[in-house]
Amino acid sequence: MTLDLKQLYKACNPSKTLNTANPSDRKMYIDFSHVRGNNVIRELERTITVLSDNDPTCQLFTGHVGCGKSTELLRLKHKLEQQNYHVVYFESSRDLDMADVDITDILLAITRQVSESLEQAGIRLKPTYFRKLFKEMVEWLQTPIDLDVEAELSLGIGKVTAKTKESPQLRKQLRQYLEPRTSNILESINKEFLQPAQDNLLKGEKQGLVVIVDNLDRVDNTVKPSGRKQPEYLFVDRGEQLKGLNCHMVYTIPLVLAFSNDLGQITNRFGVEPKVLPMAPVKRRDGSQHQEGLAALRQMVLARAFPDHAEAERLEWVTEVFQHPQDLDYICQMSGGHVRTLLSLLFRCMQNDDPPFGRQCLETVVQRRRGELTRAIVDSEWQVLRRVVKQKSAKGEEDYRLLLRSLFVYEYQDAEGCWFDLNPILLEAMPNIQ
Amino acid sequence: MSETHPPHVLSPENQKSLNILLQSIKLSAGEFTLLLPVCNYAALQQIILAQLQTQATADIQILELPQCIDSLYSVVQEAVAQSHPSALMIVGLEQVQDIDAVLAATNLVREEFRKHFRFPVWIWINDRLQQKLIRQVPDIESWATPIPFHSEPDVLQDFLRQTIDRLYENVRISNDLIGAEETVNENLWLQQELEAAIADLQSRQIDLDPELAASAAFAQGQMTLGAEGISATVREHYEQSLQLWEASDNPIRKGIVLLQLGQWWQGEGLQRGEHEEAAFQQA
Repeated sequence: MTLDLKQLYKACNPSKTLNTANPSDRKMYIDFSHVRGNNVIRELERTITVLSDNDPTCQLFTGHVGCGKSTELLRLKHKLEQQNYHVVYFESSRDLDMADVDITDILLAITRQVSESLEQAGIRLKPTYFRKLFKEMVEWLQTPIDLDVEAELSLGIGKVTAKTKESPQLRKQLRQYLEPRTSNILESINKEFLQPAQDNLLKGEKQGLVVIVDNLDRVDNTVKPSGRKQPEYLFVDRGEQLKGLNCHMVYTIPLVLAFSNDLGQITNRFGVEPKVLPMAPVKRRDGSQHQEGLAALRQMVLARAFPDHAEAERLEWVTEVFQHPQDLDYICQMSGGHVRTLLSLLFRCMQNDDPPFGRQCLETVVQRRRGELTRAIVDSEWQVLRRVVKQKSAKGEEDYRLLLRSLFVYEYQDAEGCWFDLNPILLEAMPNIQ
Repeated sequence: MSETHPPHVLSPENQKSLNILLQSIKLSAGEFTLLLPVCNYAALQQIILAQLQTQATADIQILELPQCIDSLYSVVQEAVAQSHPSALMIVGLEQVQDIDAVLAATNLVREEFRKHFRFPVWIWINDRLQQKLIRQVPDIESWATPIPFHSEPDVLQDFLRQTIDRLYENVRISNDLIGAEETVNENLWLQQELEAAIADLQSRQIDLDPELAASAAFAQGQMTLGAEGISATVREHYEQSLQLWEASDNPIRKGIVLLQLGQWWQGEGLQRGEHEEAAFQQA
């Protein structure tokens, strides 16, 4: 068995997202749901396919940086498509300026993406309300936008958003026009667009329409003129409207909201709690090894080296990649179950040495990362980190901002609920740890 | 700072880092890879850049960032619109104005990098910027691999000595002693290099000779004064420097530290009226 270095290098690139709809990616995908402590994707899926009873649903999804959110959402899309749903997945960061988002921007972005996807499926809808809206909008903006009101809906919205994404002034103007009309717009999207779209889809023997809005967790913490921070404004104050779309919706929301005082209100508004994707565990709460978690992480590494082989076979070839099987365990443990960190450590090994990687190469890579992270921590923060190690808990926005966002602390889940631990790479750097 | 090595000889570690960069062109094979060469010293960076040009067989495009940009993405997009480089190297990020906003804006559209730039992108950063990336934009940071470039300890010590000599000289000839920190601050880049050199030597546990250690403590005091104003940390640096000067025979330098410390107490006294008398006595 010879290792394809170029293949492995590509597969370990930490900026790559696996898309299970793609056969070569699918071979490398490892399902962590049995070890993550909850099966978020299955819950999202069942809510749509089983529990909804054909009524529209609205669900919220979030998770830590680099723990597999987009990969899991793409997997949800794939699974729903296999069950004959028409699924529109899009990265909202392409259409929106995340530093300045309003409800009407999100509604228009969704309409545009859905309409584009339906057009590709041969379903062309031209809601009369939007025709009127566009006409008035162009007059209001007093800016030359070449809008053919007879053209496709997606094209029209695309042209307007392209203009306003560039110009904050124009965006402000557009909002002044759209904001008072929000409920009319919402009603029109539902009645003249989503409803006929779904009727059409059902006729074509589809099960229904699902929209997955990825990257909306990136709306940043800027303060709106009203004094509210953007995430709270969008998902608490205006949550009702986001929920008002007449199809199955899955929104990604900023993780900070799961740590904020507004969590209760969000749950009230949407009628569901945001679902958080936890890390794959390498340890249990009591500090003992999590064998199943470790086994899944081993497979994640080996699947990237030997994508075409079965799990048992991959384990036999572990010494092609690492000098000893324990070396693979070491790097898995150091990753803390954070998948992107695991890839990144491997990627660094590949840059420094040729496989099979020895313990020294791995330790050097880990030490370097430890140095980078340690330099970014200020002395007073070690105190807070020590508290996390001791109490295995983190609470409130301050902890989130300080510890979780920078990946100094990881979040896990078990039968008792969520718990927190220090990024294992940092453990040795912690001063006076008992 | 100046490197004492002849420019064509890199230390084995730096050559290894350089090889990693060059190798990434071959290995990325038409995919986006983000590598961050980390280097704290402009002179060393120049040497590495020159070596890179000589040793590379592929076509590397260099993008020097203007100081005023909105987002890294749009600048890069424009730069590579007509070209198809094998790798893109970006320099000057540490000098960009309003860096926090630029990083935030870049972070939000990071997928666009992956989708549109199907080649390795190398962005030069320094330690300070690296810390910023970890704290402020962990998403994009966790995509990247830092590639360290280091200066040799003797080079660092020479650099420290020369820079600090200039600092003392400036303070000595300046009438306005408190204002003298501007001579360091006027060149922020130099100050960052000075800080990095002290930190680098400390982290590598290199013992400085007592005079250099005393001078370094004084320089840290001056720099902290520039950054924080009259703070307790400034006083601690001055006092540490003074203590180290006690052991050596350099009355002029010791005198300068004493004078600065006196000025510190005077400033402290003016700031906090109620302890004025005690402060002036200290001064």
